[in-house]
Amino acid sequence: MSHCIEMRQVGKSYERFQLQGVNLGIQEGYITGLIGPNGAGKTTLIRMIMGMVHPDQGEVKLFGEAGQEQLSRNKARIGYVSDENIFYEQLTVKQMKKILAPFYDRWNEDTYQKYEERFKLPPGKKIKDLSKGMKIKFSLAVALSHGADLLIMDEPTSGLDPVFRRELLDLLSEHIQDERKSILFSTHNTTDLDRIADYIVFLNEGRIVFNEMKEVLSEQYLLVKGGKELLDRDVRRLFVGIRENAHGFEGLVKDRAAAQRYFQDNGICETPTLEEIMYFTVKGSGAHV
Amino acid sequence: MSNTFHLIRKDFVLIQKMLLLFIPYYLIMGYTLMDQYTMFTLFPAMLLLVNGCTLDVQQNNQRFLVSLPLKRQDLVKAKYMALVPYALFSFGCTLVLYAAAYAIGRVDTPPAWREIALMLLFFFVLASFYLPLHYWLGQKGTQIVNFIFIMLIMLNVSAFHQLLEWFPAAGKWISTGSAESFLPVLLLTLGCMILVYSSYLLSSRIFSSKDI
Repeated sequence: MSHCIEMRQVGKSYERFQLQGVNLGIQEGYITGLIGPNGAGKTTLIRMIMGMVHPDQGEVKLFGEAGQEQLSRNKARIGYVSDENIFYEQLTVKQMKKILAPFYDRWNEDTYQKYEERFKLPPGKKIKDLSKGMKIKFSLAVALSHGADLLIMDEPTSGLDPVFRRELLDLLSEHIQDERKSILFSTHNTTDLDRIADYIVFLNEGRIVFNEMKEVLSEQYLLVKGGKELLDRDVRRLFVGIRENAHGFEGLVKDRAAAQRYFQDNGICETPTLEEIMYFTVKGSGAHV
Repeated sequence: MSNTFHLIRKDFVLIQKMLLLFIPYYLIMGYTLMDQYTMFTLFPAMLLLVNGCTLDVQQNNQRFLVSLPLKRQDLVKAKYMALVPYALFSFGCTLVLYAAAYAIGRVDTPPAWREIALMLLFFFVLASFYLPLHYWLGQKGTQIVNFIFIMLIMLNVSAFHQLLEWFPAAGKWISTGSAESFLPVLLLTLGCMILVYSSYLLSSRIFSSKDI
C-alpha cells in the first residue's frame, strides 16, 4: 500500500508547544481522521503538509516526493479546506472562483457548476456574507472541481449544522469511491469519524499516539467499569486513563486481552468509542480535552 | 509566466474599487496642485502597491495563496512584476490629467517627460524597500509600514527637490535633456534595476522561509 503523505521525524518548536518526532503515513485510497484535543498540533501538522509551516527538522513527502519544487507541483493534486476562511472576503463567489480556477490545469468548469448548483452557492454573494457552512461548501466545490487526488480538511465539520454535516460526510464517502482518492481530515467530533473514517491518527501534546485502522482500535482497547476495590497500584498501571467517582471507576486499557482476563468476572468490559479512547488517553496524559 | 499574469490579474480584481477612487483623486489634486502634476505619477502607483499587498495579508489570504500550486518565489515575483502595470497606470493617468489641463488652458508647457520618468524610477526604488518589509513584517507590521511609506510619499515634493540638489546631473538632465548628462541618468536607471532585483531576491528569501 502506498502513502500519499509521509512524515519522517518531523518536529516543530514554538514558545509553548512542540511537535516532536512525528512519523506518519497516510494511506492512499482511504479516509483518515486526525483527532486530538485542542492544541494537540493537528492544524500545525496539516499546515506543514500544505507547506504553510516549515518543520524545524524532518521531512514531509507528498505523493512520494519531497522538496519545495515538488510540493508546489503536487499541490495541484490537493484540495485544501481550512478551518478558517482563507478566501478574499470582499470578492463574490464568482470572482473568487475566477481567480483561482486558472491555477489548476485539471479545473473542470462543468463539475464546479454542478457543485455550485448542488450546494446552492450564490455566485453573486460576497464571501464575507456567506455562512460558515456556505464557505465550507465553496471550499469543497473548489477542491472537488480541480480533480484533487487528496482532500485535506482542517476541522471542516466544526460549527456546521447537523443536516449539512451529514451531507458533507455522505459527499466524502461518495468521493472516496474512486480508489485513487484519499482524504485526511481533522476533527474534534469523533462521531464523524465513527461514521466514515478508515484510519484514525490520534495526536496528543505534539506526539502521535496511534495511527491505526478504526477496526483495529476496537480490538486493542477495552473500557472497564467496576468498583474501586478492584484498583490497586499494579492494576492502575494497566490503564491508559481512569475516571473515578463515588460509585466506582471507569478506565481505558490498551491491552484488551490481558484486561479481559483480569476483569471479565469482576468488572464490566466494553468496547470503547473513539471519544472514550481520546478522553481517557488525554486524561491519562494530564492534558485537557 | 501565465501564473504571474493570473496573480497580477488577481491583484487588479482586488483593487478595482480603489481604481475608481482615483477619478475624484485626480480631479481634486489636478485642480489644486496642477503645477506639480508630475508628482501624481508616484502616489497612485505606490497606493496601488500598498493596497494590493495589504489585501493579501488580511484574513489569512496568504494561506490561500500558499495553498495554490505555485512556488512561493512565484508569488513574490508576481508582486514585483505588478510594479510595471501600477507604474503604467499612474503614468497613463498623469498624461490624461495633463491633456485635460492643457485642453482647458491650465498648463501651456510641454509635458515634463524626464521628471515623470524620474518619478517612475523613484516609485521602483520605494517599492524595493517596501516589499521586503511587507514580507518580513507580515500582517502585524504592515499597518506601520504602510503609514510610514504613505508619509514618505506625502513628503516626496520636498524630498524630490532635495534629491535634485544631491544629484545635480539629474537636475540638469531634467531641465535640458542634454546628452552629456545622460550617462549619470543611465547609471541611475541601472542602479535602480539592480536594486529592484536585489530586493526581489531578499523578499523571496524572506517569504520562502516564513511560516504562514
